[in-house]
Amino acid sequence: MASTTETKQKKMLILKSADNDEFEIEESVGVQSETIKNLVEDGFTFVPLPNVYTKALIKIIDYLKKHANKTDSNDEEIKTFDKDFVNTTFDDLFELVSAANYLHISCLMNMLCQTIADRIKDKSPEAVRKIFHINCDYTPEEEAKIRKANAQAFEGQFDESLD
Amino acid sequence: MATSIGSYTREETITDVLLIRLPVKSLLRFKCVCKSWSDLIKSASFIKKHFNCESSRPRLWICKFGVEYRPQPPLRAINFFLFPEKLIAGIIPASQRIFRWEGTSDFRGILGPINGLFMLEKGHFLCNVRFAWWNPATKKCRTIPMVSFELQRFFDEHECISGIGYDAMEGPPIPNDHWGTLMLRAGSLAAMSCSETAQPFTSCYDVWERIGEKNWIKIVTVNPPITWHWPIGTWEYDKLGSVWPISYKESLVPINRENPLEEDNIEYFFTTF
Repeated sequence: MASTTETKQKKMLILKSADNDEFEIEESVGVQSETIKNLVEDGFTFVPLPNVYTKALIKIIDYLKKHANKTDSNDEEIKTFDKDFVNTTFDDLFELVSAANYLHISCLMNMLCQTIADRIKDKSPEAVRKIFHINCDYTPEEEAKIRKANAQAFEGQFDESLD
Repeated sequence: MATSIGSYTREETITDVLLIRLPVKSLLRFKCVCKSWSDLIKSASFIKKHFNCESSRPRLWICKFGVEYRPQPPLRAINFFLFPEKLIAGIIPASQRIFRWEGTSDFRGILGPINGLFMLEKGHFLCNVRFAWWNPATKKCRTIPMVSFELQRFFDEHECISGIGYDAMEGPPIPNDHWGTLMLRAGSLAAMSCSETAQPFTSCYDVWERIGEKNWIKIVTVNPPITWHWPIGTWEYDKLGSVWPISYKESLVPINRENPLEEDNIEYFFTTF
């Protein structure tokens, strides 16, 4: 009985991922996303997210739940959670950035972008191309010219790894 | 995963917010990742966003200029030291030397930074004063030629502040709608960019406009937003050396000419120019 009353008191939302999985979360958790907040304010309780896949959505819901319960005492716990959260592959991070951007969760967006930036800043351009799945569209001559003009940025050793 | 790859490579907004968090050195290197990255990194809007990005905080630099007696023979040198991000009271911070030039006997002062740019000044008398722009992050330097023109007010040779103005002919070397400013001293000209002119300062600067090849008119007087790093006890720096604390934040603001001259080099500026 007690639990039913509680559920009634707490407003719930249903999020639907791009691969059609549905997740029920508390409204107070969901509204940390500006996108969801705007929809909730317009009276929606069912939120389709055509740009967010299930895999990313599960992680993001975890993040929102953790951060919704932020108090003064669990600061350390959240820090550890965040650290684990971003400890994943680049492809996963990009997927999450894309989702966080679409959902407008600015603290998550900041954390993800900073993580990616910190992880790529010492990489070689070749490694960055592979990580971002970018094809180089320079001719060898054009690339050599850019390298020459920015020679000081190529001094030293760079990280060629892709993780 | 195939579906997701397209979504982030296409979204330039994401590339944008990611890249503004990178240090200048990484960005210069990543210009050769692909053309669209290069165009983005070079764009004025990106340069501005990168400079204003909170992920890079201003750092404490110490510029030290003076005579060093060891090793012999004594020599005049200018050194820049970078201090750690966190300074703790009572603990001497470890500093890292980031720049050093030797034989810089007539170095006079350093101005700025504004938007990550410094102006360097050397020479003590009317005939040998020289200015150069310097962006330490991109390691670019641009020496400023002497131009002769008529001054509209009296300048004493020790009066080091002369004025700032906008070069209407060539424009400021920095793209954007910033203030283009101009240092005039003993015939040397320089343009400096800034967007904030509200900072209080005691002296006034004059804004000049070029109306002909070598003619300038004074159009307005403003308070300058330039921080001056002037030696304390200029004439005693042989004994004491001079030390200037500088709060520096790196930027991508370009100062180089389209075709840099041989003299657009900081080493050249300090030792030969």
